[in-house]
Amino acid sequence: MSFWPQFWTWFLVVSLVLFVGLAVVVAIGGYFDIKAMFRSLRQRHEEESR
Amino acid sequence: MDLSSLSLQSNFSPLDWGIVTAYLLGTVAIGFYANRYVSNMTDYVVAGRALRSCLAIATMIGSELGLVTVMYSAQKGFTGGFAAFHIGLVAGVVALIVGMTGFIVVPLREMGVMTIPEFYERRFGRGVRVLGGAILALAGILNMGLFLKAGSIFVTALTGLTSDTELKLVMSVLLGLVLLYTILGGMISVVITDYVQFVVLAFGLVAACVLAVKTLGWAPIVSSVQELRGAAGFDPFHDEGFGLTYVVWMVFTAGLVSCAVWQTAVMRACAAKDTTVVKRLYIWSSIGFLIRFLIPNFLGVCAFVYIARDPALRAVFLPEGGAASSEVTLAAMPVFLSQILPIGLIGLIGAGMLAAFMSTHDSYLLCWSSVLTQDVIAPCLRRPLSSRARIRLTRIFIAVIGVFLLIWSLWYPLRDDLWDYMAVTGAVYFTGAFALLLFGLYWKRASRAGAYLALVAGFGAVLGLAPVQELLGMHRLETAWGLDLSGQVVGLSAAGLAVLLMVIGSLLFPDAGGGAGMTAHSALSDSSDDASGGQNA
Repeated sequence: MSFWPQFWTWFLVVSLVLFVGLAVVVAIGGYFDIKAMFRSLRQRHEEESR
Repeated sequence: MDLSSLSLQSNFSPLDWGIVTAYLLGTVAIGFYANRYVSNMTDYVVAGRALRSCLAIATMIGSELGLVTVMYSAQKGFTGGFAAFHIGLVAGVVALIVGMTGFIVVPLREMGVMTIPEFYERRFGRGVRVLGGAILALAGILNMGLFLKAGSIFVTALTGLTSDTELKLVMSVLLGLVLLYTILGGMISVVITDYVQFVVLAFGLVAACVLAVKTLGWAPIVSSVQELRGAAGFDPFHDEGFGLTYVVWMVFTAGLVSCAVWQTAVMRACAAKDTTVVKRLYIWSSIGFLIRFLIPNFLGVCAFVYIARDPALRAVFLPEGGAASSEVTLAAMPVFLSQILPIGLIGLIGAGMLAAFMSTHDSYLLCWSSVLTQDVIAPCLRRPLSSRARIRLTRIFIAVIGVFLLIWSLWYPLRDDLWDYMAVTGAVYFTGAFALLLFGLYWKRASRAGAYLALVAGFGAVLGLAPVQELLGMHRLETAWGLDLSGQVVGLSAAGLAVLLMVIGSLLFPDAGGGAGMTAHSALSDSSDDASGGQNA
């Protein structure tokens, strides 16, 4: 197998593995960030309405 | 594009329609819910600048990994083979470098601007903001002009609704859903749906890749591309494939512009909590910038191999003695998915893609309409607009742009690959914008005159569009003088000219007084005129 087919094969595999790892971390962390964002927005609206 | 003669049997079942319906209804419900939290323009446009790292990364990738990205990248994989992977590679590497250095995005976030034209005003004055905003909105709206068509081709090809009438009907329904959803919620609803979309698509698309390899086999995929595309199917520098100029064009467009100059990506940086989050966002999102091209590229390659094996499909998608039209090659990936994905997964991916379509569409609609409001209309008015009036005006622009998109999608003849159309239309804005950002942020002597000249030079990139070239008879120049007037050559030339004119204009016509000698940091501290109506946090 010449250079480019081998290079793209490894590039695809490594990228997919990295992406799956990132997706797991971001999916879990993002859920908690959404809760924090709504809490922050709610607090600000309460302060503005006072 | 009418594929009804193929009599394709899609795996899309009533259960999958149920999944799609439930998903879309849930998305609209989120829009209603999020609307409760929108009280001013900062909430509406940058989600109150309350995004933390994980959510910022999810929304950045969710917004950029849209259905349209998947469609045009798959088309590039279909037409270019494995060599198309270079687009993802340069996109990821450049985003990583931007994240590590903070190049352009950190000074912009430090200034607290909401849009790039707002930076233009602080650095170069109100006139540059209005001209830059108008060019940005024009380029952006043209750039998303074919989103509706791409989305509809995906839906019809995936579900087996292959006639032209069904395509137009799907276009109209999709547009209605997007408009309703965007007008309701603004950035807060966009953030939530981007997150959901990220989760569904991240795992759905990886599963699709695994299934594609399982169906076709890895070695046969490689050998088929080798046999049908030759060395050009792997080597991005090969003259019969992409070539060196195209790769350089991709370093600029898919790399630097996509993450650091393109307004929708910069808006994510502006919405981040602080500059530490901005850097972290770009470093981690670099994987997303890579993947958003790479996975669809690969699905496009698989679609190519699958279609090449089937004589009926091959006759339509890979006709002997010529190339299929761009609209047909766009449909290759969804047709392939409709044949290999099992019931349930095809519904989930279809729903995720539709949500991705809505998410990208609403991000872009929100972006360009807020640019028109904040950067073109508001600075021209004598009395400052209230926050409520700005939101109302932005919503009106969203509806007007929506109608334009429907007409453009039905009318415009797509001759290039969709990605190349998008790169050229985007270049109308970003070639000039790049010069203004680069020199405005990092060169004290950059002046207003240089900025005007750079914006006008960047606008010249419109000459890269095939219908414009035909209208002006530019093909005669190509034939008579042997010039290469491809989109990438015109775009790179416009970018070079914009940089050159920025430097020459600044040296010949320096700003008198306050403007000259300012960089982004001094502009931040010196600016007392916030045309955004004091909404910046």
